[in-house]
Amino acid sequence: MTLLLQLFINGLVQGMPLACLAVGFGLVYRSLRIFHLAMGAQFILTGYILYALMNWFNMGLMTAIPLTIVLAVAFGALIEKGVYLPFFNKKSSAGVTMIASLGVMIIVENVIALIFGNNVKSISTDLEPIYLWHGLKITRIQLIQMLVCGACFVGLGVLVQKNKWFKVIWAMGDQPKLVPVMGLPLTKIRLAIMCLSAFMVAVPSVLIGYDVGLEPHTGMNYLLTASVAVFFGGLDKYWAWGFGAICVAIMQSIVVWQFSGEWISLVTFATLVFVLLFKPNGIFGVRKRMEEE
Amino acid sequence: MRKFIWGLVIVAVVAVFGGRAWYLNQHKENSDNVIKIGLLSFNSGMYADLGIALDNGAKLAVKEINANSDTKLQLMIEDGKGFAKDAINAFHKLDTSKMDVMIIAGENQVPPVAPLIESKRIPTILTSVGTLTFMKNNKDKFMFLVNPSAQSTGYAMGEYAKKELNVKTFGILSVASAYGQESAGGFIQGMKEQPAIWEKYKETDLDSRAQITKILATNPDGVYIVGYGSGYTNALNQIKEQGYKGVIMSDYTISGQEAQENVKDKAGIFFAEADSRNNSARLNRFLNAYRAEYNKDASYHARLGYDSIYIIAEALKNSNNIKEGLEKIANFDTFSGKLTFNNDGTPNFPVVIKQMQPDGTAKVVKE
Repeated sequence: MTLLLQLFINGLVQGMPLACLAVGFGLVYRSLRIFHLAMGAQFILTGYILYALMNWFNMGLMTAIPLTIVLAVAFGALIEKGVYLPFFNKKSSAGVTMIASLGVMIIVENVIALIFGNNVKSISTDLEPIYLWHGLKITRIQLIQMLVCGACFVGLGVLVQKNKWFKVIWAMGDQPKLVPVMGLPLTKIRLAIMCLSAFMVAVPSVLIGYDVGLEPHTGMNYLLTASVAVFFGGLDKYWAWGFGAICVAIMQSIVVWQFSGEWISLVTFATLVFVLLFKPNGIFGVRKRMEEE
Repeated sequence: MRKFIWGLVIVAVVAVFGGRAWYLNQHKENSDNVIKIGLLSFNSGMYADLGIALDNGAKLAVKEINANSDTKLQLMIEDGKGFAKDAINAFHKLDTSKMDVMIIAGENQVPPVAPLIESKRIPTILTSVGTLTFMKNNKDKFMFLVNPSAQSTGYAMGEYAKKELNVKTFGILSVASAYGQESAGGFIQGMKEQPAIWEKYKETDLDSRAQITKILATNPDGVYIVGYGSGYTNALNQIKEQGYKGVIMSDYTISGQEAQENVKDKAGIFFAEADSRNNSARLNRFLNAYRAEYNKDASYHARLGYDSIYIIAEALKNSNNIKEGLEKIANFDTFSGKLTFNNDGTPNFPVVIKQMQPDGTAKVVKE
């Protein structure tokens, strides 16, 4: 029973950073209708920026983290200005934009491998202290990940509910042409979404990077898991993304209870397919009328 | 008319290239003193840096040997990219160049190429571990492994764990690959016991906490963690973070550069590796030469590339027939220790057990 509970706690801890990543993906997909594959690039690049600032410029962790997040947000803005917006202005199809996004992902991944090598890079040099509670274990960095990412997720969730701009952002996904008609600055809103998404990716990226190190080819894995969380929970509701993330993370952890760890991805994606067969819009998905789709 | 012009262009192109190929074939350098070595490497893709290091080590050895010998070595490198399809294409390209002997690197490149090696009867040096399955099918014995087999080091570690460390119950956490399978299999044979639990990770995994939690729930006397990549270094970090007090055992990856940089607390970890203690003078000479040539430090793969060429040179000294020459190699100095091939082409390196010390060095605990 302790094993199952420990696996559950592990899943819960991993669920919070995944919830932030799901928001990073969901915001862009829900409002800009872009399958944001470049988010994988943002995820790995952020970790490597932190590594470079600490190892090449000898910055302390507390100085490097805010600067890393600022640079990561700037990179998000760059993707919008340099890739997504030009394609949007040219009225390119979603498929073309997705390919461009994949291109960004591949370029960044390879440039990182070229500069830093393919080997894993560790940011922290010491083992993390561990906290024990009734036989259950959690490391300090896991606790920090859970609290910080949890705060970011809940904080943004409150903003989404209270702030009128988020209503515009949500509506944009369904009717993007209405935004300029209403006299709202579409380009600025798009840029803000990309920056916010980059921020929500950067926070878990630095914490996960600090915890388990960096590897240039892991971006796609995190991206796919985040996208699974969004579709699993339901695309139209912010809180559903978090629910999806926590469910997926707990499921990934608990899979190991009965199966080997190498089957984690298989079980995750098989479950997603199964759920979507019965709930095509996700667990909390809103069923739309035909003319809305 | 347009079709006619296109037809003419195609005929002309075929004639030019075909003629050139025929001319080169007729006028090729066919000296008995040139030995063509095909190196099927993986110098692009995910593990390009390892393949490039292997190439560099081989190039350096060829340069040294050609400077001091009448028999000249010609190194032809092709990139298999670590994928089956590309490896087969690279093999055919090397085969067209009439190589006398081949070196093949990369765990993933051996399976698709192994049948071709047998059918073309090309003496081949294998540098990758995790290839024992193919060595077993090495019917005509054209393949020679120059890396200490994962099975042999696993076996030595298992035997030591049972006899000296008094490990009775154990768990295994291995990379999900042929290498992990062989190493863990060797460990089980050495222990002569079945593991309480055997979990696996992928080499690019960053978090193995779930698997470790499951292993530690069985309260094992010891845990054997084997593999490579971020999955390996993180597994060692995470089992230490969990405060595990039993015996942690591993393979020679722990002494490699990646583990040196990323495993945060190695103290106390036991591991088995080939005994290379008598090679410090040769190793230092190589390290200096490599640094002078490439302005960087030689990795394990660079040493493998360098050793492979010298093993071929030794085979040429032994016999005009390279396969026979390789079979005759005995007690030959390599960076992995003194090499003698077994009848099936696997290497017979003496293995020692070491334990990592708090200062980061490794102490031999059993010869």
